[in-house]
Amino acid sequence: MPDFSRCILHSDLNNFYASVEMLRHPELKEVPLAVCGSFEDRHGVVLAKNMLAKAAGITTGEPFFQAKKKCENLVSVPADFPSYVRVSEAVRAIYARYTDFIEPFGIDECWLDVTGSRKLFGSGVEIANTIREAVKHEIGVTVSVGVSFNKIFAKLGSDMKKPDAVTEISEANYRQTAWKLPVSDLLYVGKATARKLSVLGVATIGDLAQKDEAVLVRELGKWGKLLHDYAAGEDNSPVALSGREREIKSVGNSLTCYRDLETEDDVHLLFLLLADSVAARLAESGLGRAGTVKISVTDRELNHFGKQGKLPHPTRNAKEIADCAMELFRALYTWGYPVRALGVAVSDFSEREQLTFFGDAQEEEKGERLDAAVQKMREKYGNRVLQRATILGDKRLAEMDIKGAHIIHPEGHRGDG
Amino acid sequence: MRPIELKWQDGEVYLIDRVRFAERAPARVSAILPIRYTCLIGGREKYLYFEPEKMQWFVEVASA
Repeated sequence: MPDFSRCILHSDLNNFYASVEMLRHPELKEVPLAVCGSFEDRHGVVLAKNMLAKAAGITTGEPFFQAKKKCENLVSVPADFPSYVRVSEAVRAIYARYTDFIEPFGIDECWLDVTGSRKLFGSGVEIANTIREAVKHEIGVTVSVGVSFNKIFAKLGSDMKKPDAVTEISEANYRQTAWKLPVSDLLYVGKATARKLSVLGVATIGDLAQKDEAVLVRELGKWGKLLHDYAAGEDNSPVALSGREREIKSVGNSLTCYRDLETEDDVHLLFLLLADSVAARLAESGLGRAGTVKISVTDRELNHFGKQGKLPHPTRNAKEIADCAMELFRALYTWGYPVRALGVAVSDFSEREQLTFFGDAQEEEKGERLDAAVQKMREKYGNRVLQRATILGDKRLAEMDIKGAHIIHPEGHRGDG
Repeated sequence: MRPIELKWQDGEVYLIDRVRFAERAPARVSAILPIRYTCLIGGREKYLYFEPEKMQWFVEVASA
């Protein structure tokens, strides 16, 4: 009989940052190792550690100097995120041999839906073992893989045996395995929730699954139902198709000005600068046109305000974005204090050209061609080669390379193409 | 890309007769994501590694 149940893997790279550092420094395999942020000042916190450091009681998040007290011969290395991203991508390329349903959960974890891959590559456990061996032999780091019929139990499984192991939580055995675990092991059950649950007499995942759902909803709201379903193995959320998780929802930029902004002209100036950079990034990303503009305002007293609104028609033109931002600002801000920081983001993208009844299509096209030409010049000669005359009124602002300085790529961004 | 010869630190040059495999494999020395070339040199199999990130070739040397 064909097997219609889902087969989900959750693959977790063991001590990931520390494992990559041990590839770079093989001599550190034999010593307790901590990967730290901000290494120079020696006040960095431990971001990751190897097994030896773990055995010495070092925990993630503690300051290095404190960790060093627990373990005298603890060695620290600074974190090198670009390398971790490269290794993570190489591992994902291995996953991609078996399925195109790959949903990253942070840099070191992924869910894989191999339901449809079993005819080609064997059972879920067999695929998990093939992946585990491939990662070890090709990359030199190890994974723990959980195999189950939903994402929640798959994740639970990958935590049960570490490192370099495969654990199956099946429909036949989850009552004997998953249900015996403390409820805090379940994804999304944090300390606060675990405390609330313990008051209700829920200690294990099995307790949670067997608890009256109405009681959970009363105590925890809609999370109560969700967690109850998760514990009972009734999670049917899909694994995203690879690439989808990178779908960009908005493009934005914000800036804290070197001086407080006191007038509408000042604000308009900064909106123009920001809109220029947003339009340029929109064009680069190939997302098409944006239908919505959102602004954020921070005043001198650090109060935050925000407002979003629809553009008259989808656009990728900097001036139209700035105009819309300005309109939103006028509707939002009452000038209680001078403005310290502004942000502009656009979203609600559409590829298609939209004909407008009143809009001047030619004028619009002209604006876009102008933007494109300016963008080309800037790519070639730097962001400051062409500037809006309005902006030249404030020399210091004009000198800021707003686009060059303010791009932060999302995690997992494929910078190397 | 195919390695042709290997120049040792004493200046001696070894011709690489054939590359049997090129595959991703970790080295026992410092390297992240190197490609391992299984080479036939003088009738014997030797590993030659290339680390794309650093554009660097290297071999593992048995420690004394």
